[in-house]
Amino acid sequence: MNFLKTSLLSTVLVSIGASQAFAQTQTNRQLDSIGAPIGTEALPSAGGAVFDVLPIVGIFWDERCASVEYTFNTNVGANPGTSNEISANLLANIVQRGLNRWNDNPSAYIEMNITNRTDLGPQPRVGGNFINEVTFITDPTFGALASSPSTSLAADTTFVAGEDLDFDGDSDVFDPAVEGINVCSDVDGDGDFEFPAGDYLAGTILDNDVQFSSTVLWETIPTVGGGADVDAVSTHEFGHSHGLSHSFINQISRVNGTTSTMFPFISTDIPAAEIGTRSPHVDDLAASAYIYQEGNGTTPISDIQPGDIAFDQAYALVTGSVSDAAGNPIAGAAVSVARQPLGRVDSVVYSGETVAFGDGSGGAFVFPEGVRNGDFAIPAPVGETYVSNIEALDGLPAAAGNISLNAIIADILGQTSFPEEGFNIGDRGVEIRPNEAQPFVLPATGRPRIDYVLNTETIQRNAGPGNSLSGNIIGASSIRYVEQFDRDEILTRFSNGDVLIGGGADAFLFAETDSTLTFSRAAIGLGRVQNDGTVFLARVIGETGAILADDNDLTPITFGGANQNLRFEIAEALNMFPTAEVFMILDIDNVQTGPNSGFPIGFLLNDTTQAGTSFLSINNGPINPVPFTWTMQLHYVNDGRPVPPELQ
Amino acid sequence: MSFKKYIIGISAGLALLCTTSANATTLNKLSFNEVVNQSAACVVGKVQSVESVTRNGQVMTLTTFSVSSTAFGNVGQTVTVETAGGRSTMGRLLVNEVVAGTPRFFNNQENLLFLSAPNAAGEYSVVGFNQGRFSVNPAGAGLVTLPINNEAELMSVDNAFSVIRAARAGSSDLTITP
Repeated sequence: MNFLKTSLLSTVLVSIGASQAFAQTQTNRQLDSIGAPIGTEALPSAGGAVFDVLPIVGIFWDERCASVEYTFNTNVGANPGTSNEISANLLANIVQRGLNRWNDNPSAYIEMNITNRTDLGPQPRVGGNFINEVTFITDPTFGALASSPSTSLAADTTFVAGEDLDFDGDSDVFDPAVEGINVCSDVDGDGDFEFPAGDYLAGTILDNDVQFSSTVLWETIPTVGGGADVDAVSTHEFGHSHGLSHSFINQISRVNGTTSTMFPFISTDIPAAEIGTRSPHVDDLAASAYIYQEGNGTTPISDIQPGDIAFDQAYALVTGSVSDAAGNPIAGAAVSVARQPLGRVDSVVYSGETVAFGDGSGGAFVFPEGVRNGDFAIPAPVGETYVSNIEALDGLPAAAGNISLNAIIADILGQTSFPEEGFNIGDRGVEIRPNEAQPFVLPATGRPRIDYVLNTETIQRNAGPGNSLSGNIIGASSIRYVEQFDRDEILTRFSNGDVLIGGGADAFLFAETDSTLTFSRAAIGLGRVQNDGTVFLARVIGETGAILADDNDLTPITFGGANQNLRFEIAEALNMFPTAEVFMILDIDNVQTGPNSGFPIGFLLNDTTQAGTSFLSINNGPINPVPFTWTMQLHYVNDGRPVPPELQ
Repeated sequence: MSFKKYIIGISAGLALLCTTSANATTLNKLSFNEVVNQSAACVVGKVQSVESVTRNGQVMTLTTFSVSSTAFGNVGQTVTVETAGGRSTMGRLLVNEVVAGTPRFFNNQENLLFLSAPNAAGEYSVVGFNQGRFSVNPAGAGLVTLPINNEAELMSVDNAFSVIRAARAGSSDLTITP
């Protein structure tokens, strides 16, 4: 897809007299903002009241300004006046190293460089002055480690030669024919850059600054001590400077528990995590390449140079949509593709296109009509085998507010709460194997189509919402978690036609480790609680092995065997033996010790709101009761089919 | 690693440790309990107005909420929250200053907010940026989703307040002995 050409065409339409502006196409991985009105609409959900339509536009650098030049403020370095002081020149070198890693992306034409090291004074950055500033000076109230504010156009605009855009007394726009160039440049040599006259789209970044907190302890070599690594933070922030939003990847693969560079959070006291963040992940590079497609532009910067790989050769798009079982489009769903067999997540986008609505007085509102579609297009390296997965931006591991306005609108409309699932051909609203994703090969040509319909599931659980107690077990080499579920509720559900499709469990991984946690097996157990309070397991059914735990999220559990048959086996046992009970079992064999604390890397969260249904076995010992409740749950679907007589 | 430890015992005779984590590139990653306990107030409020101002060369947004209920903290009938970025004008141009991860609000939208102590001007900030902001879903009969126990828990505001007050009371730090 060449959205840039499409968007430029839209600009031409505007310039010949159309009253509507045309927003840039959203790639669903960009930071975004509310654009100027593009029309009006009567909204049934607002009683037919007429509102302005406010597009949500992604921010980006215009191709003419995609060789972005930064000025490093050398007025002060990091940790000034301390034994840990870092000179401004060294900081600038480190920042440039991170920029080089982004610049080395062979399929993105954008490049960013520090071209000027100047003392801009002791004051914090000033936005919108056409000096892209990098500074370690912030206001005392600055509450983050760093940020990358971008000033962007809210509407399609034509810049006229000689125009003073920021009213600072000199021209900010030059005539390309006169200057002989058609790229952003400091043509008058006064320290800020000027724009070539012409049309610019809503979302165009006019100015970007990157500011690092004055009050943070900065490090050049990551330590466990808790200082922040300049390189890691800088690489992340300049991803935002590209226009990228945050990613959803907090666990790169089955064997690598580190996050992608653009994940919202990183542990600054885990050196391996910070070092990992220094290098843009394949997902980060794909997101940038999708916006700035090498070989698909209209100016020389996008021409293929030695070392470049055309976007169309390196990437292909997986396209599709997300809707609920009623057919309503869903925005703000995190859709990913993971390369097989290791399960490395190669690319994530967020579904849908949304708009806000204005009342003409400057207010912006959200109404259900604002979700225009649930479409997405995921760029991923060609020729590889993938599976696709969908998750809600429900705060675990990241919330809609961490991502974009598009996602926030979806969240306000209640679209960010649904069960995680994998994609299978024929995806529909009631699936009995929602988490078994079907592998597919991404060809160099053509676009695999993935249309998700959210699964409609109900949950059986013993605890929550309540108070979590994160615990860890010392001295264990193997752990078995056992949770008992009410037999009467299970039989009632079966008699109502519910099909047991799996479960969920909440694992907690120590953030100090970059490892992953794998449950050795999950199963349904049939047995009973003995007089001494321990559990006797008579039979284990539906066993599944090697389940990768989701860090800081609910882990979907799939029981092996035919789901349709599980309920028959369970119902038969419960009806035959009045004292029989149903247990969900989760095992961790060969428990690994965390690198710093000495404690195992992962365990199950528990809830303190009630007790009596949870059991624990350590090192193959008795299955003893525990005085709280594991956060384990069973999931069901009901497709409305007639209930078999033996379950009624 | 900067985690808290609470030693408890279990019937198997082994010890468990309670932990929280971690830090972040742009801000600290907070657990739900940390959000609750780092806040000066927790309110549910509806957005009355959104206004952008320029302060020291930086665009800031001031969002005023009418407070409908309070889980804890002493606040007035309205609170004004300051966030980075927002809409401004540059000469004839309408521009936006976009800052990743900063809370952004829409008119009439109802939110459950965890607020820091106000600044000298009486303006609040949201604890942990977006980590202290939760939409109260108008389509879901006023339900709010809170991230508790690694689950996205959809609940009423009343239930949310109960959970929040329990976390505020420190019940999650419960010590259990064999």
